[in-house]
Amino acid sequence: MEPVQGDFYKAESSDSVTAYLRFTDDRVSLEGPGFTRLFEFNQLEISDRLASLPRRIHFPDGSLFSTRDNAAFDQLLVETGRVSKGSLINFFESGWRWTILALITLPVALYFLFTIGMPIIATPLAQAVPESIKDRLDVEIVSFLDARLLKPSELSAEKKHQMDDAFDELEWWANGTSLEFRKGDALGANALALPGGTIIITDELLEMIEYDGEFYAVMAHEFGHIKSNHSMRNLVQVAGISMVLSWMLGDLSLVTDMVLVGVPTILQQLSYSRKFENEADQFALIMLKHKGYSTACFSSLIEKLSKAHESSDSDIPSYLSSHPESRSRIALGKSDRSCSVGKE
Amino acid sequence: MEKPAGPSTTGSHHTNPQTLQPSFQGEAGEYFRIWIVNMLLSILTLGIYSAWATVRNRRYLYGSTELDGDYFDFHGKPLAILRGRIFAVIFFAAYAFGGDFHPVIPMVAFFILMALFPWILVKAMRFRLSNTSWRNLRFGFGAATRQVYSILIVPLIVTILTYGLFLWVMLGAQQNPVENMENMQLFFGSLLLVLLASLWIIPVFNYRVRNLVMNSIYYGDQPFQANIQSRVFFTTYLKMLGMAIVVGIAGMLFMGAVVAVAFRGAALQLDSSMMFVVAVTYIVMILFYLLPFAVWQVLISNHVISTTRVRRVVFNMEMKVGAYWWLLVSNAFAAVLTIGLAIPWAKIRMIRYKLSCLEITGDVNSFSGSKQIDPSATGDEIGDAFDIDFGF
Repeated sequence: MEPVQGDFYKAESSDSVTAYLRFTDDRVSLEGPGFTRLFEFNQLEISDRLASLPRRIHFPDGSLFSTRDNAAFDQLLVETGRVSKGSLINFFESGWRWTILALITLPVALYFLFTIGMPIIATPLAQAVPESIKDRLDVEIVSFLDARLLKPSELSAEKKHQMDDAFDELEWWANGTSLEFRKGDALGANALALPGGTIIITDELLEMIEYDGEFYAVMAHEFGHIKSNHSMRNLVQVAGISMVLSWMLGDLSLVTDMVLVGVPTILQQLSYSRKFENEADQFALIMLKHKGYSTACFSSLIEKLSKAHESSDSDIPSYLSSHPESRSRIALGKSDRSCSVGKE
Repeated sequence: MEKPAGPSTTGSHHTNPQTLQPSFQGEAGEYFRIWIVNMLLSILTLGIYSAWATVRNRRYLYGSTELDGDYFDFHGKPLAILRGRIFAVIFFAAYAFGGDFHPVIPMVAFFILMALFPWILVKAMRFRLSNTSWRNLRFGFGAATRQVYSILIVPLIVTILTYGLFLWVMLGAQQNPVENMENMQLFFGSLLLVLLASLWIIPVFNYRVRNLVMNSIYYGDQPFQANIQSRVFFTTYLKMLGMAIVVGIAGMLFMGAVVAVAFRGAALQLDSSMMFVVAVTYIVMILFYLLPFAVWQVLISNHVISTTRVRRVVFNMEMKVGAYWWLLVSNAFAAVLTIGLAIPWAKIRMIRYKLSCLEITGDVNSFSGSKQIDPSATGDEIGDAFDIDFGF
């Protein structure tokens, strides 16, 4: 068995001499100019193999043997029936085949982490957020939206009163929610459900609504979001994703951080809502039926919204574009009697 | 005390002080493979493995850095890093996302971080240095936490008072929208105060930290000595500020021209031309923002490292602002355009450049002794999470 050549450093010294390392069944011997030392194998601390970096063998007395002949050292370990620690990870790192596989697996793993893993983690976490914090969040979000996107409502006091009365008629369905009127401006005809139960409805959307049933369809849809805690889950998911990304990419410069972390987070927020929208739609249909309104009210409202969306010249992905295909949504309640008939 | 020079295997001449140039012997392809495999494992283990990944990445980078024929080594233990990382993540979460819940949370996190800074600094430096070795000798960090507090207490208090006032005014302005002029005056008054205070805080803070750090490093039992001048920090800060103002104005003019050309007087609309402007803004920001940053990094590092010696070994660092800036810019673009895949290559490029500007003159043989400290990694990882590089 050939010995491995390397440099030997005495404890607490930076000077080295050339030395040779040999393994026997239970012993390790080190031979240098004018000395031979014997060690027990399990006394040694051997560094894991990493690329072609020198292998370091630390002895209990603080001395060090360093060799660049990784292959010979590993062979020595194998021949004496020992395990080369870290050789598995080194095997993956040292060939392009495995690297490319990792490169492909990486986005797939991320995809599943974000689409399946995160929602599973986010649901109980979002559930654990106390009402007081959610209410506080609503105040923050409303003031944020007021400052940047929304304008004060231009509805007449009479119309607001009428809407408030209609809202009150929802009784226990509306428990824990409250209604706010705003002018949508850039958001257009829209309604938003916030984590703490605040529902914002825009003047533009109210203008489209002809029948009570349509108003209740909107409310029911937003109740669906609130009852299933969608907003809070979304917030937790997005926070989780940006934390994972910034942790993983933590070794980036701040510039790439900004670009790489910002974009996927926004995309993620959009794609999540599809499943949530379906749930909210289903909830809306159930509530309409229970309240004695035609589910066609839901369909007619969606139809109006999608028409309004088509005619608008804005290119930004609106709140609507994240809804499932409008046509399939319209079909959900089409078979029922016309919405104009009113309450049963 | 020095030991007599022992036998040398490198055959260096002891009579004339030799000038050594450290080099980086790693390869981008090799590092890329290590980086991507470890990144994947970190994701598959929901981040747990990232501590092991950090150790492997750092071992590769240290272990590929050569000086006088021998390589550096990193000995950090993954479990220590994992512990520190959990602590850092909690802090980072409070800082980054606490604002979604209550605007006071990031402010409180910021003040706690300020108050803990000296402790974190000592922990981080101790962990990094005592886990770094060259030729079987570890580096070490000798400063005590109390020392760092004593030199930083005044700048820290001034920071907390001025930034605190500013954040408090900002909070007030957020809660009651700006309607009276008093608010505006208070806002600009406190902003001016913060800017004036920074003229003193930033150079003094940086000078004191660097000075203490460089004079507290050990290699074996030999202390580093650095003759750092506070004057250089003040003049460099003014240069950087002047440059920031110039490039700021230039950047805005450039952006104005882009907007004017893109819209040709048409009303501002949220469409594809808006996306174009956003893209251009990013590019301009990267180009311009990095220039003052490069000035600061290069001038300060050159000065600090070039005044440093250990035993009779002297260091000389001569980086160039232009070259450094170009590296930062091209690295940032490469990383963005390859969705991050060029990061290993970019890192190695930067290391190669820095090492190529560094010269070490004197007899590097026959150092001895070591200071054994058992460091916890907490400070080190907080440094990572907030992207603070403590130099060296």
